[in-house]
Amino acid sequence: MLFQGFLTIMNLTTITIIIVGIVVGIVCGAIPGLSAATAIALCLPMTFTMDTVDGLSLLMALYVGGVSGGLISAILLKIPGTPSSVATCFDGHPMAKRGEAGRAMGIGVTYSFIGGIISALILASFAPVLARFALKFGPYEYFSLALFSLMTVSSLSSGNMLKGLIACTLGICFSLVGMAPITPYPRFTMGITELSNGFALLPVLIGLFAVSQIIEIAGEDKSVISGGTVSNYKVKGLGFTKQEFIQQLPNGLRSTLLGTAIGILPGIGGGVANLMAYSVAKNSSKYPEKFGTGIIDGIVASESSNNATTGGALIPLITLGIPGDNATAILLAGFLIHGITPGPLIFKNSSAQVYAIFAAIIVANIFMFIIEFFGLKLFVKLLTIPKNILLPIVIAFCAVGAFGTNNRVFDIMVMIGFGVFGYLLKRYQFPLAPVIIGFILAPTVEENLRRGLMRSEGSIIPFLQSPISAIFLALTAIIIIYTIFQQLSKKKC
Amino acid sequence: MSKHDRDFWCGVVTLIFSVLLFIASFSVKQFVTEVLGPEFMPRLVAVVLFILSILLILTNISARKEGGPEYKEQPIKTNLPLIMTIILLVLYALAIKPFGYPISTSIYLTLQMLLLTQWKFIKKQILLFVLISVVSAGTIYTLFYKIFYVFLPTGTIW
Repeated sequence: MLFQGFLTIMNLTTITIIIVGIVVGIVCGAIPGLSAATAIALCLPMTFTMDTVDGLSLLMALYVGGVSGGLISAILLKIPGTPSSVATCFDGHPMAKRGEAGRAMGIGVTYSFIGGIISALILASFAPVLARFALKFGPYEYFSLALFSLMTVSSLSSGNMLKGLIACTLGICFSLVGMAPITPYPRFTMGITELSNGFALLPVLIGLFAVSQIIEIAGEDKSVISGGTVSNYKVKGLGFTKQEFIQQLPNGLRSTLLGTAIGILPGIGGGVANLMAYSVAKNSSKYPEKFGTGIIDGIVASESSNNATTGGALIPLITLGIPGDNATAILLAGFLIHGITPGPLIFKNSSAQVYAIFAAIIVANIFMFIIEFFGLKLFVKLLTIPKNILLPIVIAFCAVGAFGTNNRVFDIMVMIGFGVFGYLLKRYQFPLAPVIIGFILAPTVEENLRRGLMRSEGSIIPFLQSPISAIFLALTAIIIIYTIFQQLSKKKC
Repeated sequence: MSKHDRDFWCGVVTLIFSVLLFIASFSVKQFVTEVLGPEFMPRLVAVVLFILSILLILTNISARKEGGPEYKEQPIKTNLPLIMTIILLVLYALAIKPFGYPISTSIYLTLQMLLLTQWKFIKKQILLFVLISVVSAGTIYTLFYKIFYVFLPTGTIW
C-alpha cells in the first residue's frame, strides 16, 4: 500500500508542491516567531482548490520543513526558531562561536533527516494497526480517550496545571456555541446566523496563534523588533566525519525513539522532546561535563528527537482524530477541509489518500535534507528580514485563510476576536494549546458522554467496566495525581 | 502587581464568567425528555470552571498570606502601539467588505508596519513600507485569485 502511495505522489505537480512546502516550512521554522503551525496556517487557503493528495502533501511538507528549520536560527543566531530547537542552541551556538557552524549545521540537518524518516516509517507501519484496534471503540472508550487527551494537554503543556485546566475549559466553552450534538438545538448563538454552526476551526486557530503574536510584538520594545546578527559559517562536505556519524548513531536512534514516543502523547510535542532527549543524552554520556560547551552529541539528540515528533504526533491525529499540538490541530483542519475525517475508519474510507500522505512525508524528509543543506545561504539571508515587515504580511495571509474557510468576512472578525483573546491569555500566562485542544475535543467528549449515558440509561458504571475505557480513565487519574504531586514538590523546594 | 495578585484577579474574572455561563445555560431549551439534554454540557462546564476558578483564587490568597518568595514580575506594558494594533486589526476586518481586499490590505500593512517601527526610522522607511504593502497586497490577491481560485472581496462601494 505504501508503494502505491509512492506511485500516487510521483508526478511533477506533487513533487513540486512538496519542494515548495519544504522551502516555505524551513523559512517559517528558521525565522524566530514563526513556526510550523504558522507555515501550515499561511498555506492552508492555497490548498482549498487543490486535489486532496496535493493539498495534504503540501501541508505535510510544511510541517516537516517547519519543525526542521528551527535549527538554522538556533545555531547561527542563538535564538531557537521554534520551541523544538531550544536544546539545539545549547551546543550549536558554542560551536558556531568557535567557527564550527558548518559542522553543527551538517550534523543537525543529517540527524533531523534520520529522526524524521524513522518516525515516518513508524507512522506508516503503526498507524494502520492502531486504527484497526480503534475500530473496537464505542462511546465509552471515545469519551475516556478524549478526556485523557484533554487532561494530558492541560497538565503537561504548562507549568501550572490549574491554569492549563482553566484554559482547556475556556476552549470547551467556545465549542459550545452553535448546534448541540445529537439533539441539534442552537446554543449561545445570540441570534447571529453565522454562529449557527459554531466558530469555524481555522479562524479560531489563526487568531489564537498568529494574530495574538502581532499584538504581543506591538507591545514589545521596538528596538528588539528586528532581524538578528548571523554568525559566519562555512560547510565542507557534510560537515562531519564518517566516524563521528557512526559514533552518534546510538544517541540519534535513542533520541528518535524518544521523540516519536513523546510525539504520540497529546500536548507535549517537539518543545519538550528536544529538551528531554538532550538531558537523556547528557545523563548517559561518558563526558556529561562537555555538554553545553559545543559538542555534536547535544545537537544530534535535540534535532533527531524534534523531527521524530512529527511522525509520532501524526499517529493519534490520523488514527483517532486527536491532535496533540498547535501544528497538528491545524493539520486536522486541513484534513477536514479536504473531506478526510481522521479516525479509525480512515484506512477504510480514504486508504489510498492516507498512504499517499505517508509517502509524501517520507519524500518530504528526503527533500528537507537536500534543500536545507544546499539552500542554507538563502535561508540565512531570510533570517535578517525585520519582524515589523514580516508579521503584518503574515496577517494579510491569515485574513485570506480565515475568509476562504466559508467565504465570509465574519470569519475574519472571529479571527481577530480570538487574536485579542489569545493575547490576553498569553499576557496572563495561560497556555494556548489546551484552549485549542479543548475547543476541538469538546464535541467528541459531549457526544460520546451523552451517547454512552443514553445507552446505559444514565449509569456511569459501563464507562469503568469497559477495559479500554477503564485504562484511559486510570491514566487520566495518574496524570492528575502526578502533576499535583510534582507541583507540590516544586513548591516545597 | 505581583504574580499572585494577577492570578487572583484572573480567577475572579473566570469565576464571574462561569456564573454567567451557568445562568445562560437556562436559555438552552429541551424538546424531548432525555437523560442528558443540550443544556447539560454548558452547565457541567460552568460548574467545572467555577471550581477551578475558586481553586485558583484560594491558592493565590494562601500564597500571598504565606508571604513566601513573592516575586515581582515585570510590569505588563499596555502601550499605544499595542492598543492601536488591536484597533487597526478591527478596522481592517470591517474595511475588507466595503473597500475590498487589495486596498484595505495595502492600507493596513502600511499602518501596521509604521506602528511596529521605531520613531527615528519611520521617516526614512515610509516610502519603502508603502511600496512593500502595495506589492504584497497585490501579489497575495493575484496569487489567490488567479492561481488558487480563492475569490477575495473586491469591494462593495465601487
